[in-house]
Amino acid sequence: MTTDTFQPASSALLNGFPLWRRQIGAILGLEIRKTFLRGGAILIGLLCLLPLALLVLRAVIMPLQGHTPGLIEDTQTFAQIFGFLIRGVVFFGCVAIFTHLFRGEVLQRSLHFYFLAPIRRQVLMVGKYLAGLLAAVLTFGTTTLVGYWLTYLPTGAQGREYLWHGPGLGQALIYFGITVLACVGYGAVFLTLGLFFRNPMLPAAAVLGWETINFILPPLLKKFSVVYYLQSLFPVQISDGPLAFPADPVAPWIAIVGLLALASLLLWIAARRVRTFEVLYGED
Amino acid sequence: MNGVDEQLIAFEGVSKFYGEVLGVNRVNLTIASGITSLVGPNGSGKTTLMNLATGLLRPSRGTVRVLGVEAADPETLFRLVGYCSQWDTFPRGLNGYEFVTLYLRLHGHTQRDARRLAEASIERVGMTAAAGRRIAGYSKGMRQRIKLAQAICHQPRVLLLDEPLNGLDPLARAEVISLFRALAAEGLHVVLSSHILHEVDLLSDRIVMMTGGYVVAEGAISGVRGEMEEQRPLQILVRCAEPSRLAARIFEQDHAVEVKIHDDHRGLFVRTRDADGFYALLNRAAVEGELGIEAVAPADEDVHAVYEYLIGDEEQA
Repeated sequence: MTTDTFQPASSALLNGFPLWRRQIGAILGLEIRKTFLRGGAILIGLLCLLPLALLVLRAVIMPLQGHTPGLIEDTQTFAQIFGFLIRGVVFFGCVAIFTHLFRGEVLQRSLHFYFLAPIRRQVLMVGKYLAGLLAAVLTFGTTTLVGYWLTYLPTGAQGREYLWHGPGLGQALIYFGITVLACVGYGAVFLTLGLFFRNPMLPAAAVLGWETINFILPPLLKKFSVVYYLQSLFPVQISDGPLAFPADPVAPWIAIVGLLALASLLLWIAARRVRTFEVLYGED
Repeated sequence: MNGVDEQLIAFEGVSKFYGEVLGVNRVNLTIASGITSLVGPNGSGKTTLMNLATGLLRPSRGTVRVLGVEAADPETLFRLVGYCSQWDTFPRGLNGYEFVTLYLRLHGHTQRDARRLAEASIERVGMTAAAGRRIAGYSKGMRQRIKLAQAICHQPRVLLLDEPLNGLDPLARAEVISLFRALAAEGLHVVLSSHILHEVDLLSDRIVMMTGGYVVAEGAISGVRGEMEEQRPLQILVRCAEPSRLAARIFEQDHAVEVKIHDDHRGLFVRTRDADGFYALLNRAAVEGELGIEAVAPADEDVHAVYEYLIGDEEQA
C-alpha cells in the first residue's frame, strides 16, 4: 500500500450527451453481462426452448406419420405458436429480465454501485432499460426466427422456397418486429413495476390478467395494454383466444406509435420514481 | 451558498425516519477537512448520516450539502465524493480491476485513463497482485480494500468510509490508517465511522458521537472531554518524586475532587473539575523544580472514555 499522491487524470471529463452516451455504453456492457451470467438466464433459456421443442417434435413426427403439411398449415401453425411465444415466453421472459434490473439489484444489495457514481438516475434507467431490451431482443428475437424456420422445415423444398425466395422472409421479419415491440412494451411495464413494488410478481400476475381480458375491455381501456397494439400487427389472423385478431384493428402505424407512446409514458413514470428511489436493503 | 459552505459537509436540521422508526433526528452538523470519525453503537445513525450525505437516502426533513452540492445532483456530487460503504456486495462476475475501471468509465473517463487511474488506486491500497482475480473469491479484507480503491480512484475531495477497518488484519489496518492520514494531509475531508475506539482515537482530528439517532457531542476529542468536566471530572496521572507535597498543593485548589497517591509513592492519580487550573498549578510546580515531576498523562482524555461517559451509561441502562 502506498501513500503517494495521485497523478491527476489527463482526460477532461465530459458533460451532457457525450457523457451520457459513454455512461450508457458502460452500463450496457455490465448489464448485458449480468443478465446472461445470472442463474435466471437458464430459466429464460428453457422458456425459449419450449416452443422450439414443440416445433422440433412436429418436424420429427410429421414425416414419420407420412404427413407433409402445406404452406397454409405451416403458416397457421406458426401463428398459433407465435401467440404462445408472445404471451408465454416473451411476457414471462420480460418479467424476469426487466424486474431484475432494479429490484434484483436491491435483493442482491448491489444497486449502490450505480447510485454512488456521477450519473443521473434517469440516464441510469435508460441505460438499464436499453440493456434489458438488447438482451430480450437477442433472446426472444432469435427464438422467433428459429421457430419460424423450424415451422417450415417439414414442408421440404416448398418450405425452403417460401422462406428464402417467397414472402416467408418478409413475414419472418414482421414477426421479429412484433417480438421487438413486445419487448419494448413489456420491458417498460416490468421495469416500472420493479421500481414500485418490493415483490413485482403479484403486479405482474395482475398485468397478465389485464392483458388476457383485453379483448372484452371497453375501447378506451384497451389502449392501456401492450397486447392491444400487437394484435393489430399480426400478419396472420388468429381466430380465437386473447390474441385473436381484433374486430376493430388499428392501422399498423397507429399500433406502432401507440405502443411506443405507451412505453414512453411508463418510462417517464419510472424516471420520476428512480430520481427519488432510496437504497434500503432491509437491514437499515 | 457562500465560499465557506463550499468547503464543508453541512447537515441542517436533518431528520430521517424509516416509517415510524427513527434514523437520525434534528442533526445540525458541519464537517471541515481533515479526519472526522462518527462514533456510536449499532443503530445510532452513523450509516444513515453517510447515506443521507450521498443521496442513497433522502432526508425526511432538512437539507444536506456536500461542499455546497445537494445529493439530488449526483452528476456533480460524485465527482467530489468517494464512498466506501458498509455493503459487501459487488456487481456479479467482476474482478477487482474491472470493478474500479467500470466505475471510472461511469465518470466519463476514456478506457485508457480509466485503466491508468484504476491501476494507481489499486496500487495505493496494495491490491495490484489480486486485482485480476474475481471479487467473489476475495477475503473480507481484500473486498474492503478494493472498495477503498474504488472510493479514491477518481481523486475525490470528500471520502466517506463506513467501518473501513472491518475485516482488516493488523498490518493492513496500519497501512489503511496511514493512507487515510495521507489523504487528509492532501486536504481531503475524510469522514469515517468506526466502533474500534482506540483506532479512532489515534486517527481522528474530530469526533462526532451519536446515539439513538442524535448527535450527542462533536469536536476535537480533548474539547469534547473538556466540556464534560463538570459532570465527569478529568482524570490525570502524575509521576513525581514528592507525591504527598503535590497532593497537598492540589487540595489547596477548590477544583480537586479526588487525589490518590500510588502505592509505590512515585506518583498520584488526580480527579479535577478544572483541567486548566490543574495544569497551571503543575506548570508552576515544575518550574519551581521542588517536586521532581517526571511525567503527566490524562487517564481518560481519549475517545474510549468519552464514549463510555456519553454513551456507555445509556447502553447499560
